[in-house]
Amino acid sequence: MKDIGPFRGTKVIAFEDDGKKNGYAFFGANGRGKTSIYNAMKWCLWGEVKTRVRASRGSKISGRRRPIVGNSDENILMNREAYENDKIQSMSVIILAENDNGEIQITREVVSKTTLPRSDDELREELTVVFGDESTSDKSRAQELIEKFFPRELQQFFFIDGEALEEYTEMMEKDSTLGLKEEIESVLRIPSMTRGIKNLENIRKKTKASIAIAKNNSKNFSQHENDLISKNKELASLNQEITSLDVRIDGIKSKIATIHEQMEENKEMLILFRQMEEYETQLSSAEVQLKRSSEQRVDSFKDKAWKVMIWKRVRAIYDECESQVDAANSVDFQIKNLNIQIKKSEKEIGEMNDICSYCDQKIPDLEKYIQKKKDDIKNNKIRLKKIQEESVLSIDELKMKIGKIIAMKPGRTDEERIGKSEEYWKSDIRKVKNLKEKIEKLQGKITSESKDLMGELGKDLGIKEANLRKLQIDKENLSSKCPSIINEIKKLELKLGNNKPDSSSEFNMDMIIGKLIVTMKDTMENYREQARSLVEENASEVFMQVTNAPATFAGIKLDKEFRAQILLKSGRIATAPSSGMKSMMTISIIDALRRVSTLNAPIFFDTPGRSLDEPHKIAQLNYFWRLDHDSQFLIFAHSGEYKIDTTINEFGDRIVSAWELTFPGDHKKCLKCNSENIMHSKKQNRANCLECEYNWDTSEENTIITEIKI
Amino acid sequence: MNDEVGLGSVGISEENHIFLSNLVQDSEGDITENKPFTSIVEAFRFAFTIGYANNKKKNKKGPGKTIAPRQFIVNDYRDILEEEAREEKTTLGHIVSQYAEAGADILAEKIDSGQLISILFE
Repeated sequence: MKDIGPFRGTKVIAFEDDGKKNGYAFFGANGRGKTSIYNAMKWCLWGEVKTRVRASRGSKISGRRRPIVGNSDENILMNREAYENDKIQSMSVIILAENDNGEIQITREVVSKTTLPRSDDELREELTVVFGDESTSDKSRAQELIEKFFPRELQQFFFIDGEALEEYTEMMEKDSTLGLKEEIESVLRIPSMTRGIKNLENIRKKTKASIAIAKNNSKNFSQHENDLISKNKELASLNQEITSLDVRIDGIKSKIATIHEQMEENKEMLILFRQMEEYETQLSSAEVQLKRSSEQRVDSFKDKAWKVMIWKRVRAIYDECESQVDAANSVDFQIKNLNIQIKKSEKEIGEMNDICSYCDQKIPDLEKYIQKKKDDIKNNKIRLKKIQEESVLSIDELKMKIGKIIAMKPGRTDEERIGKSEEYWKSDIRKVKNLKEKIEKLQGKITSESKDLMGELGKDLGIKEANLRKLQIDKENLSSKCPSIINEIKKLELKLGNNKPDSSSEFNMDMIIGKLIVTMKDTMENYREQARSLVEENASEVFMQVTNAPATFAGIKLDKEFRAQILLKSGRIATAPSSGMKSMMTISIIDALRRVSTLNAPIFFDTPGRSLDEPHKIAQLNYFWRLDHDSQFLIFAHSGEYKIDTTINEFGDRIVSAWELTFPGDHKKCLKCNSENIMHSKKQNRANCLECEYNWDTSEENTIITEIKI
Repeated sequence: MNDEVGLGSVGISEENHIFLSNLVQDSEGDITENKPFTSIVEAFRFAFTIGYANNKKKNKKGPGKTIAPRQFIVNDYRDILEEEAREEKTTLGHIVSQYAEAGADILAEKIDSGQLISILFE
């Protein structure tokens, strides 16, 4: 291993196996790297080191991944001096091992990608595995080979943490709600079976989903199939109707053709007939026009024609009356004027004196003047009488007469209107008569038989042409529906495709998987029970070997949840076992599980005597370090747990190799010549060998591995 | 002071009555026939005005047909005919009948010759 934990630089540890002894031991004070060796093994095998699993307030807290590099307050895996001082930081572990499956060489290394990596993300990890004939640097394949050699899930039964033993014990106790079921099941490979079941269940789920889709598709397919059948029927029905219409249309066309042929045979007559039809049409129109113009003519005559006529003569009478009115007005004026003059003259005579009323001069001859006035009065009266005798009608009488005459006066446009209405009427009557004459002439040329024939043919033709038009419209309407139906049929055919959905294979698959799952679950349950029984048997066997009171105890009892109790010889359960006893129970179960797992791998036991009393410590080593034990057993012991000298003396015949882990400052002897003649300078943190003059830094915290002579 | 002229009856010869009747519209008549009037009184009035306008009078020969006095009010024409009736010492109705008889002849002549009635206005 290189630059891991307190180990600076490259350190090589050989766990040689002579085939007779199986014990290995590391001794060291706290922080000297016992656990780091243990962790180096785990890291090399599985690429990670986790903190201990802990039980806290009834919950099991899973271990946290320890970082390789990081801040000073973090417990990093990499050697801190290497991390802080090396230009390119790196850490590596190589394991060479062998078991029944063959030899394996695992090389795992991390190298910094930056000058000072702040997190593991800034490290590049490389893994190379050579297993048998295969050598690979592909990480996943390499890891696969390692797992084959040493499955990850079995690690807790081979890497036993003494510090965690108490928590394991707590978890195993009868009243624990936590239990070690998961761990135990992992030894029994049950998780892989569970995963297998889960995988199968997932496959089944997918299969069921496929079945559901297939069912749905099948349902849709059936629906589409029914729709398609329905649409095809609809189309067939339409085509049938169209065909039927075609037959009828052809029949009518044939009849129309026959009628045309018959008409063609009477071609000349047909021309005359057509001509007459045209004249008749024109006559009908002309008669309508004549009727209208006749009505207008009658309307124009009514109360107007006689006035226009009579006014030709009455107008003169009217004008005469008007003249008489003028004359009467003039006479009236003359009469009034004469009357005024007469009255004035009479008044003048009555009031006469010798002063002239005109010139205010004295009248020379008054008598003569009065006589003249009298003569004027006489003459005016004569004129008045004459005028009154000459006038025939008074103005009022004349006005009454004019009022009556004016009632005979026509309107200003009456004459013109009557004239035009007459012209229009005359023109229309001419047209009608002309057309009637033409028709009459044609009628003379058309025989009554041919007329009847042509009439019938024409009538028949009209009916048939109307029928033909109706059928053609019906056909067009039906034909217009066809494209959309054909389109829908095409769409449905596309949806249906060529194959009908078949879900029988999925059904079979589902059935097989279902059976397989049941079988696997049954097998798993059987296996679990067999395994529990086997673990219980093995654990009891181990326990009886490690207990210091074999006469009292009968073994270990495991329930279905793998919770353990110590069984007394009496058949009862030990109600209050000591903590050491419980620790031994735990160790027994762990070793039993290891044995049941059938994995032949070394056991790494960190701080193995931590919670044990002296007799149990000895019993533990007696059990694990024995000649017939099939696995290497490595302990990483604190000097307080197992004394080096005592342990070597007691178990030297069972130990293959042992090492002491120290810091340079721990040494009382020269690191080079082993002389005890050393001078320490605490101030300078240095030690000097007075024999060989070798000196070293006593403040360094880089572990020195020293093999202990056995 | 002159005595007032009498009204008298109004009539026309049978021949002209037939003629005038033929000028009156009927519902079943031929559309091409010349029938500008809606009643015999209307046709008679027009015949009278033709005679009067042309100052042509004619005494009817043979039996005649009277015109209903409630429909043809002779008094309406007093102002233009009274003087003439007085001079001839006859009634207004007689004068009207004479003018109508002559007018009907003129009208017949024009119609028979294919001329328009309105030609009479010229």
